[in-house]
Amino acid sequence: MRAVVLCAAGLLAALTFANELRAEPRPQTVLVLLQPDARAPFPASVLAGFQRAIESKSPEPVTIYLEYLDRNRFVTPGYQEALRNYLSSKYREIPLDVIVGFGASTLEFVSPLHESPWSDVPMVFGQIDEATFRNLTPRPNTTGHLIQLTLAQMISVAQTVVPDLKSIVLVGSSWDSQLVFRYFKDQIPQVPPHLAVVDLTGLPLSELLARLATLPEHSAILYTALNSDGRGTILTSTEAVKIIAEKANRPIVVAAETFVGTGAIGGPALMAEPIGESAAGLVLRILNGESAQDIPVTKADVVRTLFDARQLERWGVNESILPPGSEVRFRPVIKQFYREIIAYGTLLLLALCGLLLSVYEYKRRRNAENDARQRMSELALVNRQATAGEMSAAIAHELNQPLGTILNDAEAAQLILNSKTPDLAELRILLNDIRNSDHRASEIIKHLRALMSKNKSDLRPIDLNEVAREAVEIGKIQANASNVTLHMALAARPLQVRGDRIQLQQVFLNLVMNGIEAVKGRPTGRRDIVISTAEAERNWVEVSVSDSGPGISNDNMEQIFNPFFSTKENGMGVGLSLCRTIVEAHNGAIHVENGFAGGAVFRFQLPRTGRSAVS
Amino acid sequence: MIVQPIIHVVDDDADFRKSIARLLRLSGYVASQYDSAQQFLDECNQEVPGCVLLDLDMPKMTGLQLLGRLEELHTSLPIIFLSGRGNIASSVKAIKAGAEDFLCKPASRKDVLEAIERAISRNQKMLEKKAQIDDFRARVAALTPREKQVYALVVSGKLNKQIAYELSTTERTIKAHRQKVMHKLHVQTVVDLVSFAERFAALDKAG
Repeated sequence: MRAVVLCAAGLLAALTFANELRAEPRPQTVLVLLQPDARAPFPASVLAGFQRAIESKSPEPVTIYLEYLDRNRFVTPGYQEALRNYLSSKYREIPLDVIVGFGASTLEFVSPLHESPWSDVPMVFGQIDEATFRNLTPRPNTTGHLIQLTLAQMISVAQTVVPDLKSIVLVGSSWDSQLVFRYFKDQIPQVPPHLAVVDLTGLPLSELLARLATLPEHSAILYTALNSDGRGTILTSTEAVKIIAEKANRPIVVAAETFVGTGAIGGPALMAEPIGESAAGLVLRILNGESAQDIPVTKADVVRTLFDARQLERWGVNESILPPGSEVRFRPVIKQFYREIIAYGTLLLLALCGLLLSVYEYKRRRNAENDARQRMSELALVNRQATAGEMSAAIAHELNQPLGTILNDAEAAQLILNSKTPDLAELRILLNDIRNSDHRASEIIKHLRALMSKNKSDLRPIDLNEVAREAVEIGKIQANASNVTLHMALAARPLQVRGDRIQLQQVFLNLVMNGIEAVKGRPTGRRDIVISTAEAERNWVEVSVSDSGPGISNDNMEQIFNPFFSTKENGMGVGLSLCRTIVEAHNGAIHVENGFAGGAVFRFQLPRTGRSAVS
Repeated sequence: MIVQPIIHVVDDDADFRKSIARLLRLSGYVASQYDSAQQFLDECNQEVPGCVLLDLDMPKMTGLQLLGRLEELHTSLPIIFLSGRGNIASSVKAIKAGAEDFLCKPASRKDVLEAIERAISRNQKMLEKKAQIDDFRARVAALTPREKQVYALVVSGKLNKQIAYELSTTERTIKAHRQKVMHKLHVQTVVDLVSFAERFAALDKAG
């Protein structure tokens, strides 16, 4: 406001100076009426557009006076009348050439003023929609441009940003207190029936925010204008967008340029400066001698479909689906050039840090590596043995229940069959119960399988040779205690497979432990286990673990991988079945044979992955 | 003992409980079922001879805990554990705590029935012994204080004369007391009386 007054004062000074040079005795004067306070972004931009157009296009300096009606904030009865009286006395001595009014309320304000000295002053209006204009009774010497913006246009944008739109949520001050978009209320009945309309206009801000935070999917917020929090605090409608956007869980479609950029995704936006400019064009024509009555009221093209790039990204809207002619604002400002500088700088910094770290790491590691590895290996062994032990006990308990039941029922059936008059009905019940218990047992096994396969998610590219070495390190502890020698014959090149390191280690370890058990009975000095890895045909890798033990009898060969099958006195029968489970989970296969020298040879194959992948 | 012994099956696994009870019924026993240790404590008639087939792993009160409670209640019912998680540690614990036997699921009918038979016969012996003790106690309780004194002195080997002297009375009076004691304790001779005293002492000590 102050800037405008200063500007007006400056113009006056220039005008006085010009008057001395020119013959024209009277400066041209324009009174601009705004609806709200010109500090609000939208009217400020309208005014700026108007002023700039006048200044740049008028051959003569023009004095611009500014008043605003503030009808949405001040509702005291009699205020309008008092303002009218005040303005007529204020401008009594000022000869006005044109009155410009932005918004319907300015036209209402001026039109009954027939008795004022302004009744002959031509009027130019802007920022009024066609429907509202039809219900007004403007003075005869009035012209202006109509805006064309409908609720349907907002819905169309909403459907673009929310593809499967099912409901629209209308947000703003109560319709009757809205100045610009009041006429949307009359368009609600025309909303297509497949869209649900949730009208939250007039709700107090706190309640509104709560509602907006929990909107259903497939809905969009259609924001018109909100000027109060419902408890006495006045907001500009631009501020209100920002507050709402912080809480809302759905995108906000708006209808004014100044609302885009504070959290709204975009919409068919009224463009503030073009509104001012188009009014300025009419004002200049009148100042140039045309009569306002001769200039027909026409429609102005002051609506542009705007979007906020940041919001498009937030709501996952691809720019390619936006309607043609859309304008996307607020794209990230860092140019590619700066981005590259930042990227290279960061890389350099990281490289330096990495170098420093690796020097430090190297020293630290060498000290800690040896005993840490030793300790880890021992721990892993204890841990794995405990796990296997616990697991077998748990499995045993679970399975023994149905097994016990089945045995009871089978023996009961036998008793019935041995009696002189077998009770067939009871036999039937028994057989049915046996079937149920059997089913229960298989459910338990299924459940355990599922439990074990849960671990296969941690698959990474790893070198099988490395896994073998680690497992052998662990296995050596047991081997040394039993006077068994472990020999390694690993492939020269790394064998890349995709797998779970711990699980594969367990396979090696279980096979080695198995071998140790097998050779224990051999004389000292002839207790050997050979672990070898090799590239096999067609992108497979093969591992074999062979021992110098007695080998496996043909009877046992088939069952050796079955769960709970064991030839050892205290064996749990878990180890080899676990090996098979793990290998198969890695899309591999495992089998056993007897070697030439007589001992057992366990072989498993795993699919190989690309050589470039390095763990 | 003409009363039919009852086998109490305590197991939280309904399928197993039902099947073992059925097997016992078909084998000629009377079986009653309980799904928890608490239900057994609440409902079991412990006066009737029999034994308990008890699952080791049950929620809330385990078999071992129930065993402890039964000890506190001085019950004579023998306990046979039936466990799905048979291991040395738990069986040692159970036997130490006073279990009659320890079987692992799945257990054959033969093993179960043998254990039950052993338990029942032991239970019956215990019940008989208990009945005898009760009988002996009742007989001794019928004696007057004076008769008890005389009884104690007689079985300790004293002569009537010595007893009369000790109790400051006449030999004749002691003889009369002795007659009454022998009558009340249902014995015919002094030898029987001494033998009664010895058996009673032995039972009392053991019981």
